[in-house]
Amino acid sequence: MTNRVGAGDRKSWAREHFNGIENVLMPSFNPDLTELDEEGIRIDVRQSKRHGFFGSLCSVETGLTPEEKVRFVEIACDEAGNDYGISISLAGDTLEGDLELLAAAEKAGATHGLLSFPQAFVPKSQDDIYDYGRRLAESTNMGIYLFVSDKFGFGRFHPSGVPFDAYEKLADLPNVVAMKVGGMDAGMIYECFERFSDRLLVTSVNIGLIPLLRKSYDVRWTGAWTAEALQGPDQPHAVNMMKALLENRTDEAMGHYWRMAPALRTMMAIMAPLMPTGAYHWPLLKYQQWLSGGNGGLTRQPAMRVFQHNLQMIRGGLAAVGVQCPDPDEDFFLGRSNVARLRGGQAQAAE
Amino acid sequence: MSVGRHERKAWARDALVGLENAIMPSFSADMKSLDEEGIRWDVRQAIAQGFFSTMCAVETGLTTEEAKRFISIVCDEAKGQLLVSFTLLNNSFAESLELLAHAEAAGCSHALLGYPASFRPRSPDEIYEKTAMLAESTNLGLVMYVSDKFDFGRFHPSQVPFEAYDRVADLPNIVSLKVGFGDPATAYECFERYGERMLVNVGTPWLIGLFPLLREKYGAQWFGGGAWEMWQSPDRPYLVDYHRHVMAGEYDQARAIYWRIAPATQIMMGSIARGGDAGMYHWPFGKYVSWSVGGNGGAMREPAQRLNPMMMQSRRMALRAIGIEPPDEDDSQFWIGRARAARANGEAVATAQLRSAW
Repeated sequence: MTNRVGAGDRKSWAREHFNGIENVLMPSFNPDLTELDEEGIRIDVRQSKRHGFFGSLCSVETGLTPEEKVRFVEIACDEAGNDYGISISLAGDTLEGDLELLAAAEKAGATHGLLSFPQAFVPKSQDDIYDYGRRLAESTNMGIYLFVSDKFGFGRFHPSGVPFDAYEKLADLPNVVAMKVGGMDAGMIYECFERFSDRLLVTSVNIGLIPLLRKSYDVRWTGAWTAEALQGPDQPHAVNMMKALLENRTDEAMGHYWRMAPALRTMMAIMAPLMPTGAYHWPLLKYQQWLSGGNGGLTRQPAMRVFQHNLQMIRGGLAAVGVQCPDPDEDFFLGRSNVARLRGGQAQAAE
Repeated sequence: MSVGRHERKAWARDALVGLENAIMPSFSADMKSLDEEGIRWDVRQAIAQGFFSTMCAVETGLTTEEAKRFISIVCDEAKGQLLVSFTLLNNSFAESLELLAHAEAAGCSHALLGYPASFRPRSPDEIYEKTAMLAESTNLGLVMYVSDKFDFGRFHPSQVPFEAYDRVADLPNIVSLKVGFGDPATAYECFERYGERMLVNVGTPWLIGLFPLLREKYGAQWFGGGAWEMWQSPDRPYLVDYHRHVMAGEYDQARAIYWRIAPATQIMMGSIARGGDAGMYHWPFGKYVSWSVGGNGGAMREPAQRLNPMMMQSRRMALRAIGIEPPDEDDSQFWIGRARAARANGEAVATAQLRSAW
């Protein structure tokens, strides 16, 4: 099915499209971080396809101007072509800004958007949450996936932090297609699957939980997260695990899971303590991608800092699952396309 | 009731239903001897909480003789009202064998398998051999323990030596398996592999929320030795009720309770409730959790992790968040313990416990 479908067809489109893993794309910049690096972004899209993901989420909340956000999405869509999904995070500062971004993204060929809420959004009721989500959903033909995350501060509506009344109504909208359950509380995950599995493609970011969840629910995908932390294009452990699960070869899937477990362990050791901050460590996520051929490079301030001991741990974790990176860490800080240009070669040579 | 080794698997299906807490010893003021009345207090408290079993944590700085005495006191007080188990997390296999023999005579029904820190097996066969030796020495039911503290990662990335446990599971008195850490794939492997052969349990707070699924798919029916007092008091036995509703298939009621106690989970399971990942439990905090809902309390022997005021305040806050009023007493009273305080006031301990009912 083509990626350009009307809002009313999005639920069935999603059922075909959401199979496997969706990763995250972060922008790349020139060495002084003043401009986007188009070639670096393209490298990451090609790299994502080589990994075997079904789609990539453009993280636009990475210090970009509104124009740069659109450009980032346009480059990603252009490189992705028609057979690969590009989504965007609706994590702007205002509703108006996200409405504009959504319109531009649809024009560029993006397929779906992850519903987030701005820092300053302080709803008085779940109706406010519903209205916010509805305005975005009704403005587009793209699919919208709901995001369960504690970063929105919705604990006053339900102890789980999930505004269930609002999400129940949003789930009924024709182009609301899926749900990313971003927390780790087992009861919350269970509750989301129980309530929404009949209408949405619900998933957990906790990949180790998916075999158990599939005993009760038709979990078809996981994302959007940096699955490159667990695999390389030539060692696609996580992608193979999901593929085996979807084909009900569960023993084989668990084999892939345990093969990548050392990398998962090091990733969680570094990333889990950062989860309650409500922000992401963009540079380390880019480092994870860089180790298996992603472009790499830093992102703009404000950004979390990179420490040598973290790099060593991540590198060691991936090496333990067969992903060996021959390049020195100093190359990461610039990114492959910048390094290639500085050394007088073509960026593509970096791949 | 005396049950033979070969009847233990069938026995377990009937007997191991509900929540089992962990009971820690209480001591005299100079910490030199056990405080029998304090220990008995905690047994009565476990009954009042609605638990079906209590697990004696003997890896709390006791001599072997003290561990035996601790187990005997608990069994005597529990008689007919509560099952009693204990931990085989000892300094040597010889000590574990000695405790198994004693515990069987004292009236324990089961024990949690563990391995000494000095046990560095070179193959899964060695794990099997040592475990079989323990199992064959006793008529007690034994609960296998999936825990990263044994450092078995070299046999399987999950830290579970499946090759050995697959064989251990066939021993007649291996009745259950406690899943002691929260990695969901490990839990899945354990339930898939062993769910039909034994009672795989909820052995960590991280799995509480999945209990309805685990019940439905694998027949899970009990929560293994843990500080389940974290989420309830005798007057408000939320977790016991949660378990009861799930067992009855009343998932909506169960979920309502789960969300009622979620604020306590969020407060306690952040940085406060460390222990599992250090390979050593925070006994003073465990006792404080119990004391804050009517348990005896009192200090624990060194070596022990430290309990600080911030942790105590967090616990009080967590209780208030789920509608349980924390103790009136100043936290300084915790260090004394209720049985000792009653004696100091010239009050009968049993009377004091009734007066302080939660």
